[in-house]
Amino acid sequence: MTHQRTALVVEDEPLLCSLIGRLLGDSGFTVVEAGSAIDAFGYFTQTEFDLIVADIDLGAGPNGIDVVQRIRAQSPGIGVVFLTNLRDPRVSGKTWSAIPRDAAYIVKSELGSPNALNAAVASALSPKNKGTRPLPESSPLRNLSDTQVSVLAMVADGKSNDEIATQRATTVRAVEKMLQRITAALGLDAGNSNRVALARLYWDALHGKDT
Amino acid sequence: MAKTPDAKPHLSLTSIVHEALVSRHILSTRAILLYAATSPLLIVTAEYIRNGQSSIWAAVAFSLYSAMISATLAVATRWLVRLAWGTHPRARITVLWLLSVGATRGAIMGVIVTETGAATEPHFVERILGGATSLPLILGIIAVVVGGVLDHRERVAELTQTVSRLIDRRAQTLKILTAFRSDLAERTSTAIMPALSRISRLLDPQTDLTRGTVIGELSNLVDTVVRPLSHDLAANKPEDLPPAIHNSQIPKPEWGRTSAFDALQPLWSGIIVVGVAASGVVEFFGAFRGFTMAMLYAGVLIAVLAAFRHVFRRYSFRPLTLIVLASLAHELGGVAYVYTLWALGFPIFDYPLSIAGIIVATPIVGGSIAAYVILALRRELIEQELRDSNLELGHIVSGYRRTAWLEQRRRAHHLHSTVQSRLHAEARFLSSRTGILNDRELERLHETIDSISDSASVAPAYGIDPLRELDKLRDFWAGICEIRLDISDEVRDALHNNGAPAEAVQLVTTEAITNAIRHGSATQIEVEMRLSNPEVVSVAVTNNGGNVTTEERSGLGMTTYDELTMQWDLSTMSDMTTFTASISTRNTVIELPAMY
Repeated sequence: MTHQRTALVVEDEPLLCSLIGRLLGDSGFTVVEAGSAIDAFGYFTQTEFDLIVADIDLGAGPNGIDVVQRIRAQSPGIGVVFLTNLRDPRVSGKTWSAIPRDAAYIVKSELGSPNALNAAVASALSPKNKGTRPLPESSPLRNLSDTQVSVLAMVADGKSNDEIATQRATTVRAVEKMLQRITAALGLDAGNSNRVALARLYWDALHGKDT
Repeated sequence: MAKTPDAKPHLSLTSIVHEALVSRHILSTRAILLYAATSPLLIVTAEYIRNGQSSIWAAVAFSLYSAMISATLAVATRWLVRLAWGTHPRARITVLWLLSVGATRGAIMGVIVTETGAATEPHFVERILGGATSLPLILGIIAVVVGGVLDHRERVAELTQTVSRLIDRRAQTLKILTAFRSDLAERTSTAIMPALSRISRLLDPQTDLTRGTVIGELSNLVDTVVRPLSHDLAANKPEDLPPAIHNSQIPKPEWGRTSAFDALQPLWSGIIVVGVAASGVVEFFGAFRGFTMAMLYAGVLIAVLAAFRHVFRRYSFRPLTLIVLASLAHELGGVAYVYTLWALGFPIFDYPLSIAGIIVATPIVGGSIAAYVILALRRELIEQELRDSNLELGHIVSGYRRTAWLEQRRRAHHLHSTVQSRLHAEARFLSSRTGILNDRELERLHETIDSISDSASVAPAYGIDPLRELDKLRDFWAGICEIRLDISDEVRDALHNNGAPAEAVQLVTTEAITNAIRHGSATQIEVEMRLSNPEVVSVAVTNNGGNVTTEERSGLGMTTYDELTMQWDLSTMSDMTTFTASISTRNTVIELPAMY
């Protein structure tokens, strides 16, 4: 007899919550849907779950990261998939560093594809991915390191190389080299206008637009 | 309930007299009168000494004694003032002045008496002691009267203008918030209604309607109207509003009565009567004329102070300036007195003249006291009116701002969840069937459209028990952070079934707790809620988490705090971080325009 896997979906948008629940149900999960962090924890105290799919932004009070943090304190082996509107969660700044490892991500706009959710779930439940924070496949900044993303954010914020160097306690030359590497990693043409292109890429990632 | 700004306080003769004697607002007057009430002690001493001595050493000794007594009494007075009411700048300045006058006068007169040998003449000893006894009273009265009268007009004008500005700001705030709230309702209505109307028309039995068309319309409504509108409303903000409470506009704190004050209160009348009457009565019966002399001193003092203020156009003095001026005026007064009498050909110690002086002086003193009392009371009443207006503005701004923000939030959430769910469920229901829409399905669709139409134009109500939600939050974090909720019964009563205020308390407290854990990694949090005012809940969230940097402060749900509280603050002391907020419990309802 095979173990019936259970999943907890935490999403304050009922439409998405219901959609994810249906997709997970089709994949063989027994699904419990919660509209808030508090409700989710209430369900968690009653049932043992293999997987939690949590929206990061749940409005006022505890968010999806808090729910996962709370649940993992009691159930450290639970698989975690975060839902986000950002094509690359790292552009959210501090939120990214607060996001626990061993979690997968899926951008909400990709939920139309069942495979995207299945891939994220598989990643979250896979032992080989422990200790990592895999990025969504669709992230336009996927080839950049966390440091490069933070520098990109400063470029998008209109900061000059001097200002970036000061803020990062480094030299202007080092900043210029890093921008060259970022430009190359993103496949952009080197030139005077690449700063604008970099900023545009960043804002696209922040607002979830396709590139 | 707080007074409204328009309420005019009643000012009767009885209340004026009562306030003159016991008001905690006329603090400096009482301090001075208490000081003056000690004059009988010095009078008795003077009379005793006068009958038996005339030596230079005795004069010096009494001069020093005078200074010592002045200083001791001043310090004692200040101590009593602090004991009864706490520190008060005006009282402190006045006491300093008295102390300086008494001490300086004693020293100067001691030197004069010693250097001139005049102490062999008994009347100089009388002057010293007479002045020491009556001067504090007179100078004190003059100090208060001069200070009060001269700055009264300016202060009253300033207060009146401030009250007026507060009332204007309140009107402006209401205008902005009412417009914002109307705009909120209008946006919702104008965005959704046309789409609903179009679907309703599609449902007309005469139209060639297909199941797929309806499903497409419902999905389209969600994707192109409801979801964008919910995000749009959530991001919508009213124009810049003033803070709910203007701390800088509150002229001074309103002190509460203390047990020491209540214990001393019955004594004030007796002390004042004895203090004022003693020196006058003694002079009337010919013991000495320090009282009359002091009147002349006071006149010169007023002239010097008035001249100073006229020349420098200043209405407040620093203590040092005050000391110099008072001492100067005092000695000038003495000289002027002696030479005036001498020029007029009257003996210096002519008793009938001193009696005449009393007759002239008494109305001046009485009038001065009355004038000061009335002016001080009037100013105090205006200040109270300002405090009431400020508090009233705080309630109004906070209440309306909160109402608008919560309604905006509820509308956005309602669209985001309930309306979307209803449309989605309807679309799924229709998708699960095939063929032409039957009557039952059409009826159900109409019900859905009507339901959404109704709910889109009315802000959904809040129906959650806020304190129960906080209990759930405490349970949520148990194991990671220990949260202790200390909520007084008064707060529970004030929030029970109290809509927006209860929701505000819950949201603000939830935000503060979440921030402490999320940003400060707190493991212990204590939440205390008390009624700091019959209409204000004071929330204090203290945690043992890390300090919050300025950068972090800017992201800690400041919008929530700004929109839902009258005022809030975040402070760190002894490794404990405390968030405090004042939240109005007054439930404000904004009347919407008739079209809604």
